[in-house]
Amino acid sequence: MNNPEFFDTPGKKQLTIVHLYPDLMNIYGDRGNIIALKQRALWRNIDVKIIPISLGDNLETGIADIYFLGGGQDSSQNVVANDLQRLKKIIKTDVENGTVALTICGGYQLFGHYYKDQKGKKLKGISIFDAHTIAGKKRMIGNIKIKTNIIDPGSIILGFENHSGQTFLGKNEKPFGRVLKGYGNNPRQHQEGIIYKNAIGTYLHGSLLPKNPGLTDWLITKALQRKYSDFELSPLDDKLEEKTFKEATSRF
Amino acid sequence: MDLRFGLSKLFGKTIFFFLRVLGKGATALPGLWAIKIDPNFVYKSAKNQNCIVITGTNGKTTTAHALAKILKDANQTITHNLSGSNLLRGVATTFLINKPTDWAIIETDEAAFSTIVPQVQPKLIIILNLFRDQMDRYGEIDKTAKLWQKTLSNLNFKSTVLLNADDPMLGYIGQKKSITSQHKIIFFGLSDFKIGGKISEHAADSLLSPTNNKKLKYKHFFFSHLGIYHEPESNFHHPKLDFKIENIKLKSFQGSEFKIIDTEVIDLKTNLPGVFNIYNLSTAVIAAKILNIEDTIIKKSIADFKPAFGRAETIKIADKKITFLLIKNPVGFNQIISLLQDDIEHKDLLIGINDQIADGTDVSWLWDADIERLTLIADHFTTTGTRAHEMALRLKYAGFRSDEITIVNNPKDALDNFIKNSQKENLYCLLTYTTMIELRQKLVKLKLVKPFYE
Repeated sequence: MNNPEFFDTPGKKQLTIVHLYPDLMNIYGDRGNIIALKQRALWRNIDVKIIPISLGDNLETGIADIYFLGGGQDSSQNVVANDLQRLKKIIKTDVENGTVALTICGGYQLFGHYYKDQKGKKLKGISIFDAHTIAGKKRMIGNIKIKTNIIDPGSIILGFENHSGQTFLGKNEKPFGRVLKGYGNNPRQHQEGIIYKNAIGTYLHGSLLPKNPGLTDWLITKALQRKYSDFELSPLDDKLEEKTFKEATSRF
Repeated sequence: MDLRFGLSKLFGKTIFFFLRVLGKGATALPGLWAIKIDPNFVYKSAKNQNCIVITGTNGKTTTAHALAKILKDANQTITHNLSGSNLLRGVATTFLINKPTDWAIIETDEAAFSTIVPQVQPKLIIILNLFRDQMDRYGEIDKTAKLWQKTLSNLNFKSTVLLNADDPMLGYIGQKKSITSQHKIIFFGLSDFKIGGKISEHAADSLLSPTNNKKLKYKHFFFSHLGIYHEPESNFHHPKLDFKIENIKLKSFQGSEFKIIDTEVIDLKTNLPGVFNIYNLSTAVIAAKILNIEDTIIKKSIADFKPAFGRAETIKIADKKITFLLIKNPVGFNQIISLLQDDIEHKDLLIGINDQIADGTDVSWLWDADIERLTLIADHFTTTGTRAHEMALRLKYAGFRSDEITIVNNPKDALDNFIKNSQKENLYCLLTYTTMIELRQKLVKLKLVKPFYE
């Protein structure tokens, strides 16, 4: 995984992705997001380094250009919640400084204050997001379509959600998007996910990034503009991505 | 005379008859109505039968068919639930249309296991493995494991439970007091360390110990999370094997040779390819040994056993040999990729992905499979099905160029196109369940294969 030799290429831009708990938080194709970030950077001749961080591994501030944390099973999530407390300060400092983060489902929940299960037991998160999650009885499952103004005004994002946790945002927090079809954070508010600075929390699996290339490019751009002030992404041929997006749209 | 039971039989049979006249498969609807009329229909039907229940994520159908064949070859009469319909209603249909036999072999869906087992009261319960599969339907695998454990602990009869020891969840279930005190547990597993290695695949998904949620340590991985594991703090170990599978010789699509050892040795040969089929066939062999079938019958039966519907079935069309391979989850997909890699010849592939309920409506599993490994052996792809573009996109992100991928939405057209445009003699179709059924119908019309329900 560690490829320091990439970093010796002079003049090439470099993107470092810190993949949190890839061995434990990896259900519903969340690995596809790492593949999409990596490929779309490589296709633009940007060097990519992926650093896996799992139980007990060390981390420092300022290493990650992008943090990624996917979803996991309940048992994994308990273990990860515990270990994540060690890294809380580091990740928090980075996110406050504008480091890009993408957290999905279980990962999103753990970036909030806590997850309260059916029996009322609280699993502590790392409070990056002013949000909390409460286990619900109903499983919110199926294709989901949201509208967000973060990339361009009115951009549509598609994914697949599968969760019973209902997430509620603090009153000053901004959702990632508005739900057009599906559930999102909870069945009542029609809100999906959260965006805080450059960190996104969302319930969208699917995989999310491959068929939403605009979002992938937004993440890469935000991450690299912090390092290279004049950074702009060159366009790619996204015809297949667009057709896949259309195909996914037709499956509602 | 039980009037309700009699009425449900009559009504169910009538529906079955009409559906068959209309040329439909009729595997679910008659049973569904029989249960509606008499909720205890399955229990009452199974009461005078010796039943064997088989569950697990991957390999149920092949294992059930192999066991059925061995028993038939040993002159036993058997009932076997119809292809792919392994929910309670499918089991009901099976009982509806068959007279009582020596054995009823029942494949069940992982989730339906807990409703089916108490009703059919099996003499033998077989659990193959537990992988991620269609989580939109089953939820997470931890929950399935808990459900199995609860079902086995709460049965009001004694059964023999045959378990794959290489799966940590099953190793755990089979060593649990509430289960060992009630049932007879028999463990089997691989004992040939040429298979697999020290590093896990991406789709390994059960890496935490079921005893205490600490990370499991592995001495060896066979594939996915199947291997030799332990967790020192809770003193959890891979169980001692009652049956060992050894001396494995893989010959790619030509099949394999292997030995099964307990107090004696049985040498086996099969036409079915891949390590996953060695697990499946070994399970059938061991089950037959538990039922006291002679080794000579078992050996012969396995040697001429042909693959089940769409499981590495080969069909000749014009001058091409086409192999049909079912894919339904990342572990299965990876196994098929390994199989394709075993044979160094470069290949053209047709990949059909539908997202109907039977396939799983969530296609994210395509991103969990190690598609990147295909770059070494695949030249050209045709993708098809309701999610043909998603599959093409997966290939693009694995590093294939757009001129290496053709997208044809309709599976039947895709197959024509594939046969016409490929220069290769051996062609491979990797298909989800409903794309397989669609293509199968086309082949039935061409009179190349029998309908799947026969």
